[in-house]
Amino acid sequence: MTAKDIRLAVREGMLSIEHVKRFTTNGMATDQGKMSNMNGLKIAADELGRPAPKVGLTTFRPPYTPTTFGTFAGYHKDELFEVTRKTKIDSWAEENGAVFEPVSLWRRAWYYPKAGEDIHAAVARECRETRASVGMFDASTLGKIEVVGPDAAEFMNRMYTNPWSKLAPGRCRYGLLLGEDGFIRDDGVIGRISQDRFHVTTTTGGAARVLTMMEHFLQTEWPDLDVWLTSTTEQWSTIALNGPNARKVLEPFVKGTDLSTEAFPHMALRECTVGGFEARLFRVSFTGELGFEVNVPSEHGRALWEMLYQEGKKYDMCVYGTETMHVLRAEKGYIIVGQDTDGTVTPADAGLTWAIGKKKPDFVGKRSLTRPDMLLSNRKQLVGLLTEDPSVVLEEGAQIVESGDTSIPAKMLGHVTSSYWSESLGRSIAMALIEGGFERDGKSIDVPMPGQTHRATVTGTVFYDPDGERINL
Amino acid sequence: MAFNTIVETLPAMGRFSLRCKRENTVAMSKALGFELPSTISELVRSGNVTALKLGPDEWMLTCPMDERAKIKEPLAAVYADAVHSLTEVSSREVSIRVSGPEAEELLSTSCPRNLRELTVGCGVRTVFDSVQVILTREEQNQFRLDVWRSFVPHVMGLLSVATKEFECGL
Amino acid sequence: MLLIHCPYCKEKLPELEFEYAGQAHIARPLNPAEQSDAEWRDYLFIRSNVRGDHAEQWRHTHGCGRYFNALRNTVSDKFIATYEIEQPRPTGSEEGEKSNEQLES
Repeated sequence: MTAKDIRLAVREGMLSIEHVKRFTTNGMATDQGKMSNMNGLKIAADELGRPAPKVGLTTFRPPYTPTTFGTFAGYHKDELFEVTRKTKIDSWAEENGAVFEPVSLWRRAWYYPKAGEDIHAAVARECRETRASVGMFDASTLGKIEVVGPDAAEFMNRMYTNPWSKLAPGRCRYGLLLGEDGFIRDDGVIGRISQDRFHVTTTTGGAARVLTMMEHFLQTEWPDLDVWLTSTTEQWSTIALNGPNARKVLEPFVKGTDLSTEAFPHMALRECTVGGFEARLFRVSFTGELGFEVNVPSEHGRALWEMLYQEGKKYDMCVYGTETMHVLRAEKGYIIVGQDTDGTVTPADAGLTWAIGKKKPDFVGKRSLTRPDMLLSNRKQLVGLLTEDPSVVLEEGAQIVESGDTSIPAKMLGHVTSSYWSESLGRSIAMALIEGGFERDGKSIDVPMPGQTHRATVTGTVFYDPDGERINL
Repeated sequence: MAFNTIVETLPAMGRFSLRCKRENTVAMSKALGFELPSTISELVRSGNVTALKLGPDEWMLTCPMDERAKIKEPLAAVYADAVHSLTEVSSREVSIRVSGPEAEELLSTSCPRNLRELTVGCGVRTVFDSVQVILTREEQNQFRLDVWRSFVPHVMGLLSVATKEFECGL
Repeated sequence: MLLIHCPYCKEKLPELEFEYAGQAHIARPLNPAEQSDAEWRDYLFIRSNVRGDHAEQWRHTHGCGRYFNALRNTVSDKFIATYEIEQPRPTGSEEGEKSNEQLES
């Protein structure tokens, strides 16, 4: 950057010193203007024919004095660089060889490899063993919010798409949360503990965001409602048991409720004791197998885990991590918000209109669902993909084009959102958002990858046990 | 250089988040058997039970773990006439006590508030580095930090590094 | 460190305890179903972009947890007033252009 450049800038019409700076980058280098500002100012002022004080210097921004990165970092280095949140069960996972992955600020057990297993072998085994018998999973990181007050159901009706008034105490339901713009923001199972008390769950990463959104509406739009919100994410440790033998592992420890399928149907919940600890027991499943989720006060999480682990040995129970959890839910077509959705996906796009209360006059996002763009038939819709070559596992994020389209650039129709090897099916499965996806059912599309283009057939999203029989054991 | 500040985690205690409208505060106080504080940051103690006002309609109550019924039962009994939200959060948080003549200075390394203005018997929700905490001044040289369980290692780590700095005379 | 006066705590406290929450005084329509597409679009997305005094919401997240309103100048970043959430914008201050001092000749 030379004096000639500054004069050129002025001739090109940069009359303000701020424009001269941006046109030439004078002042932006390592000196940050300490040497170049005054020189540049004088040259510009001469060229402009104005006194330098009238031309002026650019806005100073901190730091004025050179400052080391260490000063800014402060204590944020090594282990203290960022908060790492761990559940009470995490220490057991570490002692038992878990490999971890970061999820939001948490570290979560990703998979538990046995000797000689890589991630693929470990996950394939965890999936197999869970569906064949039973698997145990630490779900403690999921957000939990206690919604309490006489207007609790009314508040839930306004916030979530589902109807809540008729959900009886002792029952739970999958809830869907939209933004006011109509796009999916979060989801989770919501239980009614009593007439005026709901136990709301959110995704792990969405916990704080959902509570903030709820508080924002409550405090600024609906202050007249008698309902209050409390974060209980860390009040409870949550252990999930899934598989045909899940009830057998759990039963010996449960007091205060009958676990038989007649007394405790799918989507029921009970307050009872488990392993001697006060508990909220949900019969829910994110795997499509018979499933239970036990919530106990968080400090007892590991103790209960160890009790269940011991009992589970009788049934060759495995422990599984987040990767297996992802595969099992994908086999059943359950979405993961933030993976199969990206902030532009509506309930209709995701095949979730069943979760909308049809008689509800209003809820957050409802009005947006009828905006013109939201009703177009060629919107990106969530579908399944089965590759022609069943051994090919598509890459998540891979773009999708029309079958046979080899033009460059090709029109991109969407992308692969979730993709796994399915041990249960003995082949790969994937989910994708594709323009006009529902109409393409049964037809092919192409997924160009470096080196090779893969053809796949568009299908529904439920790959395993399509009639949902296994959940009712 | 001697730095005599003690940092210790406290045993579990019963904790409840209490919310109610202003007009029901009297009924809440009556049921509990003592008057709930009326100013934000004011802490009231009645026997083994404490109540700290955190916001216009929000109190944090504590009691010994085996006396939780003392809070739950009387409030449940008046719910029909004085609706409120009582949610147990005993397990959600862990308390850390920081005591010694330089306790205030130690806490100032990560708390942006002017702690000189936090007087004895007062407590506030604030931030410790990026972690939300409830900070109470129990005595002139004794503070309590209530921290959500999974954030405790980070808070303890910060206190430990700062303590080393003080010990080095920084 | 910027200090912000919380109208509920009645104290000036460090900015790290607070979060910005968007433009103030935009009430959610009581009957969204009756809104035209244009009206609903305006409610969702159209916001002022004033160079001057801006009425906006803040939350005392790491404090009393309440949302409140503030009048802040977007050029100087100065908080002119803070007031409780249901209160109207204080009179005596109008949104308007504030000229950029540097361009004066």
